[in-house]
Amino acid sequence: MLKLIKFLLARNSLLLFLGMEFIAFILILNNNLYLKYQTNDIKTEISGFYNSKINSFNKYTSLADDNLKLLEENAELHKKLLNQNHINYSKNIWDSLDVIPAFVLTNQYQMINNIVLLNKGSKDGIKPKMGVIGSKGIIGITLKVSPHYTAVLSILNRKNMISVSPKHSNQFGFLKWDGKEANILNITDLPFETLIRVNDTIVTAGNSNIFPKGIPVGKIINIKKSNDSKIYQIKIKTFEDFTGLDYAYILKNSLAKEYEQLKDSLDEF
Amino acid sequence: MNFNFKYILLLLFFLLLQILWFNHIKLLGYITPIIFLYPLLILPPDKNENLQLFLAFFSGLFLDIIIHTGGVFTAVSVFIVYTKKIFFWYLDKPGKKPVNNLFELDFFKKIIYYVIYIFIGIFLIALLQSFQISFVISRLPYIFINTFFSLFFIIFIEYLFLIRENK
Repeated sequence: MLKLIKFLLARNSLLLFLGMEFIAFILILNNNLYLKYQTNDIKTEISGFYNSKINSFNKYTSLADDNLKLLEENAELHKKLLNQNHINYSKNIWDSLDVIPAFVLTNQYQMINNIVLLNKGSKDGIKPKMGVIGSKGIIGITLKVSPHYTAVLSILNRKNMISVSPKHSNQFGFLKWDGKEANILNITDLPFETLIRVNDTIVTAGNSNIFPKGIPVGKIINIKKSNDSKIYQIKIKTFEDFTGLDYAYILKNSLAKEYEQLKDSLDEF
Repeated sequence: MNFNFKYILLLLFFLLLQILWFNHIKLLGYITPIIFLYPLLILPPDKNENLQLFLAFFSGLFLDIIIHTGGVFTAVSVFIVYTKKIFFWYLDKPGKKPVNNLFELDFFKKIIYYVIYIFIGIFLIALLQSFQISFVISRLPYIFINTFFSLFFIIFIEYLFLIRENK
């Protein structure tokens, strides 16, 4: 080290010369437009390459945050859409609708009675008997709620039964799963008078405070008429793919309690 | 010539001459003689090199600021001052007294010395202004002609000064 210092001190004029030339070159680079653009191009290339690498790393690390943001945005859009399209049909029940986004933690579809577990709970305002939808259609109804998690009774559960109707009809039947094939469900008790065809869209009937009318459920893939009971036996394919659920939206109706209380009081008569 | 007031005045005089007059000259339509290097060339290389570098730096910077050339003249004047000792090393012969003073040189060697460094100076100015070696090579005839005219003016001014000093 001492040798190096001695060497530099002995050649201080060389250092001075190099320093001055360095300053001069900085001045030239700053003054010369051609060089400035040329060096700017190189700088832009280097910084672009560096930033793209950093950005891709940051994107990867912030993927969860981005997903959450998108989920919240989707929830807001769902809320607007539901309020615009469906509330009019059942105004008395769905005057105050909120949509809570959630991640799917566990998604069963191979069992006979399947459950979907969500990462939102009572602390987020979720209660039992709330409708749960996906990005394309309904998923199920909230069954049990802990402070941070919610178990959803999937429509792929034989204990679940939701009233549904063809999109352009007021007749309704019940959506049931036979426990065989995921994404394929049955509609029972739909009256003969209903005009339906294969590929017709099935939506929620809106007979309760769980789902408003008109939320998509699936498309008819098979229709059978039973002459003796005068009802249809319909198979539908759900819009929501239950083998790949990632997100869910819980429909919160703030007037549900009031509705339930009134309904209970009517049951006494 | 020692570092004294007279030398600083000479340096300022050549700088002002370059800025106020020679920079506005366009001989044959495109030749601008470079004479500001003269005071830097006449200093003996063995005398306080750091101070010479500072003088070269600030005189070049002064020119650059006035004529908006970034650091071209700064780089060139510093380079000339630092490398001029190479010429004197080349003149050194074993067993002979080393030549360190320009005024100890005969006229022919002095002219060669001026030509070399004026040519280097003009070449570097062209190179640093364009940063394109192909452009500078294409302008070599212009650089040679400019070297000739610059040398002519330097000799002329030097002769005027010498006449005055002799008188």
